[in-house]
Amino acid sequence: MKGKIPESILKRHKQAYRAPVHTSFIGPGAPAYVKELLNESTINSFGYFNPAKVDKLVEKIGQNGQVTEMENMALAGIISTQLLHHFFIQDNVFVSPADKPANMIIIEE
Amino acid sequence: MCGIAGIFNFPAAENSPTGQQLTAMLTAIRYRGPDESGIYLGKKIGLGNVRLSIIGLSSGQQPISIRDKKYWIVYNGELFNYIEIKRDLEKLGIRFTTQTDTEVVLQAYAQWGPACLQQFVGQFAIAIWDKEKEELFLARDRVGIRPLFYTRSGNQFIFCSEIKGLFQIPTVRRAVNHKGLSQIFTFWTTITPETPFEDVFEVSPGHYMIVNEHSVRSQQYWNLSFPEPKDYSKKKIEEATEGLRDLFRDAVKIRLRADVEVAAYLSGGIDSSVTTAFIHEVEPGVLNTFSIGFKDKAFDETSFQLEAAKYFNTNHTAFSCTSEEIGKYFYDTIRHTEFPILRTAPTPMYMLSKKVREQNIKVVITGEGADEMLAGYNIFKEAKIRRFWARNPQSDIRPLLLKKLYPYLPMMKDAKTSVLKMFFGYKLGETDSPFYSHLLRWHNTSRIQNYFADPVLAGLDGYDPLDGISKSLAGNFSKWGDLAKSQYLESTIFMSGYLLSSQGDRMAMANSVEGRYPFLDHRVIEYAAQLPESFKLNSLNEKFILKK
Repeated sequence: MKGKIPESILKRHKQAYRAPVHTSFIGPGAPAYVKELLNESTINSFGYFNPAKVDKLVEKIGQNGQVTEMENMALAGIISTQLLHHFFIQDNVFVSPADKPANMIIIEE
Repeated sequence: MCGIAGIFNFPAAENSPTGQQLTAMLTAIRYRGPDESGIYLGKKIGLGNVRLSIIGLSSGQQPISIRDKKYWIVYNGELFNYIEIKRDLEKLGIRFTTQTDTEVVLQAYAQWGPACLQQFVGQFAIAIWDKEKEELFLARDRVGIRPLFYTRSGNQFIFCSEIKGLFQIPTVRRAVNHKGLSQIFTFWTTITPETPFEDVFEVSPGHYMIVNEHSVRSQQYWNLSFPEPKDYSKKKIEEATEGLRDLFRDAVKIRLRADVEVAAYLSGGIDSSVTTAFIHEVEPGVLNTFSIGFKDKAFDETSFQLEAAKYFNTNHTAFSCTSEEIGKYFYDTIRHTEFPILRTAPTPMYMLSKKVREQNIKVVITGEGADEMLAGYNIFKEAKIRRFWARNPQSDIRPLLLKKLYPYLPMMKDAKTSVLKMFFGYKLGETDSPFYSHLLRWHNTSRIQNYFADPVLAGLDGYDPLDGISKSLAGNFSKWGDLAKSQYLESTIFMSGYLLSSQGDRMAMANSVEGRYPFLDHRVIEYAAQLPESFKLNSLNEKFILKK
């Protein structure tokens, strides 16, 4: 594709598409739901993770130490699993009486 | 692009599917189709659709029926070659009543049965009811761009574009599948047809299913396949490049077919730049492009995105996001992925599609698939270097090559040979393993299962997720070249199960935006598969043919 795209893009070092992980969940701007999902009683109640290990992970990340890829993956995996349970096992609220699909037709035999 | 849902009754089912049940399912996925919706109710069947109208804006409300209401369809997706297939069907005397690709899909099925799938160039999840045979036909595109999930409950077979739709039926059990979790905490996704939920499965990519009162049968109609190395294309690189350009041009051209505006994502990399270049070549008018960047400069590619936008003179809109925003929107992200995820990268894609939709754009073309089909990822280089190193495991020089692959990882910057050996040396000598390219990544990822609660670990009882993959490999996998094997694993597991779903369909459709991927046109895939490995990964130069 030489000549079709900018030379600098053609020659650049490939960069994987990534987004920040631990800084999105731990620290002063962290969302409230994360604290709720990662507290000991919620971890115990949902039952997927070892609360002591989760606590240790969160504490280590909170201390601003170097966070490894594995720790980032663990953090995202734990929070997303907790959210999965929250949405689909605990609540399952996706339809309210006020919501309806748009412009519906119903054809009955 | 749409969302679909349905319920099929086995003979022992007590009640026919109801409008209330289908409405609840469709309401749960209404963002997939905010323009219109429809339900068909028969004695043994209920079909539903929410529609994002893109082709045949005024005549495409679903369900659609043909041949005196013998066949009914609900459909999510695009048949990009519908014009050509329609022409073939018209030559056979078939007359059409709408301008939609949906009707072409249905007529093609009525004419050719499941064999119609071989002719389809597209991205789709299809449900067709044959009223005379009392038979349900479900199908999914070759690589799994569009989703389709199903379960059996209370003598009913229930399917939907998203799992949350299934859970609107009260008899459907809701429980997390611990083996599925173990798979995700190893491969980043489950192994098809498993999902993170017990008794909930997906129609596997490249498969169709036939459901009737006697059986539920799944059949593969396409598989990613590679020739043996001795049978690779004998074309010279120049000729092969021309061939790829011709195919890709057509893949882009048919993906510009829409009755609404088509825009593009610019990531700042080669793939989306190439895609944009071909869009310009096919349709030289003004193109709207979009990109997402990060306030955290370690992740940001905005300068390259803006450079590409300037080069192609597009009407570009650039957004950037903060870690705080990612944390905030991660909550919504998981409501849509319906899968645990091990990174936050889908969230900015969710935020981007939200911005795109705010500008009333429904369709974007992107560069997904090039890294898998033309060997762009570092994992392919990593495997190559590890094999080279394994031939002389004592070497202190060979592992240093690995250092260049991950400059964005802090621990790699100043890594010494001993550290590299420790990090990358896992099962170094097992070069005969069919999973050699991925052993290290899967091993490293699986270590996060240490965070599982003791009862979860006890319940897994030595379960090894790799066993499931061994069973799912293509028949002649063992005869393929090393790169082909790793491309297959990367494409069928990570790409289909995570990239196209959690980061792709679900993040775009959450905001009613459809993604189109010319690099995943199966003609491009099949063409790339038969190229010599050196045309893709040349020494350590990735996507070599794309740079010619």
